[in-house]
Amino acid sequence: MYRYDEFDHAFVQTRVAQFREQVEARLAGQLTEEEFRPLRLMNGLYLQLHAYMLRIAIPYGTLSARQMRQLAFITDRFDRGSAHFTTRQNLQLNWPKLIETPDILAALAEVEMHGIQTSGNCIRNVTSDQYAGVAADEIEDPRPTGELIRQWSTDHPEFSFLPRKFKIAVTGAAMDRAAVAAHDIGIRVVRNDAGEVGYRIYVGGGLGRTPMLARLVREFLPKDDLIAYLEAIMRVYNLFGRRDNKYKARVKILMHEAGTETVKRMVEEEFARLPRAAINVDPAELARIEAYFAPPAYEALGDEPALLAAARQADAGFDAFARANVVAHKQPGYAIVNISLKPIGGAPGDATSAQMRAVADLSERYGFGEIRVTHAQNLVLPDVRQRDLPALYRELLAAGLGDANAGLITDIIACPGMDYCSLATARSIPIAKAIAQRFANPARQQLIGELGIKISGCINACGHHHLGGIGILGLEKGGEESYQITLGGDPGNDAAIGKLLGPGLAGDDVPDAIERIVDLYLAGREAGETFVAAYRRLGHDHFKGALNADRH
Amino acid sequence: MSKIKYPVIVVAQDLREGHVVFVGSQGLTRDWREAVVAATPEAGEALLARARIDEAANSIVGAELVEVEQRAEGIRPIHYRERFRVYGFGRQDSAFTDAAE
Repeated sequence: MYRYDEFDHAFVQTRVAQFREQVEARLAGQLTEEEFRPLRLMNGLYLQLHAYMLRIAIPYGTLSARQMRQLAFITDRFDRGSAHFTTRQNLQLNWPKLIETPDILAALAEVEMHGIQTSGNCIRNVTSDQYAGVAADEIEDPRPTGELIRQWSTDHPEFSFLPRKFKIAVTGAAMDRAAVAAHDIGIRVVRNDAGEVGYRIYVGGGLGRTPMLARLVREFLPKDDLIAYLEAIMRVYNLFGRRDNKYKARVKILMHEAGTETVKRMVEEEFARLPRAAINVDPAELARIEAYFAPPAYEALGDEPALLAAARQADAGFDAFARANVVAHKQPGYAIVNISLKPIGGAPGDATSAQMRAVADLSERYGFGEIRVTHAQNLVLPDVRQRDLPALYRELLAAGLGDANAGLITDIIACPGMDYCSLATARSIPIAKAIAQRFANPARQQLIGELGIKISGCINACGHHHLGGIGILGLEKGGEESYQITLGGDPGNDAAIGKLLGPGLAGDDVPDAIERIVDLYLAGREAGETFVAAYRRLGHDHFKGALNADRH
Repeated sequence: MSKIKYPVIVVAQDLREGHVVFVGSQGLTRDWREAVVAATPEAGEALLARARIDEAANSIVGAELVEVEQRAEGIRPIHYRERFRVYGFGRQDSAFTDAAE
């Protein structure tokens, strides 16, 4: 894992000290709320419906056991004993006090963490594939690129006051698990015909009220040119992105209004003008960063030990866990393990401090002390010996973390919604709970197979509902919560924005409607066909009848 | 905000800790049952003016009028968002039943 250098430490410590002074100035009345608000937001501190909320960045979704334990400590000491992992691989505290936030930031700084640039019109926390560095389908570990982008974008003076927020995702695998098409800039590590590794660059993706998929702007960018090329994109956006209307200020709107070819031309012209040698990273510095992500000392092991097969046969629960939550690792004898934060009846993405400590302990006993946070609001242990899987499963069960539902219908993504969020127009969490309870039967979940339900409590789409095979958007209609259902969204290689199925439903009617959609899928699917694949073949109208009983 | 309908209460948040507070007859209160209800625009403005003093003293933020109706069991905010906020977190943590009931 990357470790802060002296500059990183000094920068974060300075920001903690500055924020402490700013809080004192606010409490003393030397700053008005209007003056103070942007300062607290620059450190990730929001004021929500019931309390403050602190958003903590987890760069490219990678945590050490030490960091996870510190997060558990902070959650106990400064919050109510649980915290919420988000779709941007961040962690949110739901009940911090303003007067204690400087102490929280100081505690975060002790483990090289912060809330900087988790809010505001700047480049936000860079996200990545949760299986980075260990995926069997990977061309190259995307985390050094993520770290390079983190360093470049942190406190970048030219890009601290953009027209609107800006999100970058990077993946190095054949399968896109980072939803790069839904980001302002999506970066894919690719290999060209000459065998060289470089980047394919997409620009202009985003969800929210105007969902758009990113468009290809550079088929192949040499690795050395990444920072100069990103600067060129940011300059074009900073100059030409709209500032007159916040709803039209994202780079996706610039792409839409100016046209992809025009933006591409402007970016290439800016790229040609820039002094690349001065902007691009020094190869020695890149090598220094890459060294932090060198593979750990794996043992020489064989795949599929006999012990594993016997355990799967002996324990149906473990067999289901192995099927849903365990993923192929690039190293023989090892496996990637998804830890579900989606227990039936729980709030998606929430973890208690005890569970956070348990995961930290398990990451050390069954790995190299590293944990990943996924955009699907789950956790990952990236380096588990296959022979250890049965023992790990038993320990996860004991910690309340053994749900065998990764990627299944109860692995629901949901934003905090109106239970917490001041922007929300409806609740998300109770809808997620009700659907999960409806489909709680493990055998039924396995029968249905891979299906992503994603729920947002407002048009801002933090729950990625546009990308759900089944998407649910909570709105207000006639003074009541009303839920629109979209179908066919896909965050992966064949990225797609879901299509609206019909008028909104009352919350109580949503589980029935989801059940009818699932029944129509099961009745119409061919062998081995996922929900999204069946939807594409059967067509949108195949599912229209699912809403008929529940018009709202 | 569109035209306010009365009666109203004043809802704000504590600056130091963030929790929701109301303007009560004895000053700020965390208990919605103690919130002063203003039945007229004049009474509403007077209530808001009291909250502005607390804002100026850096004790609370975001004071605003919230429309309510009077029921036998107490006030009930008109909008469901404000019902969640006024009655408090957890009161809405069931499926889609009215938070007030």
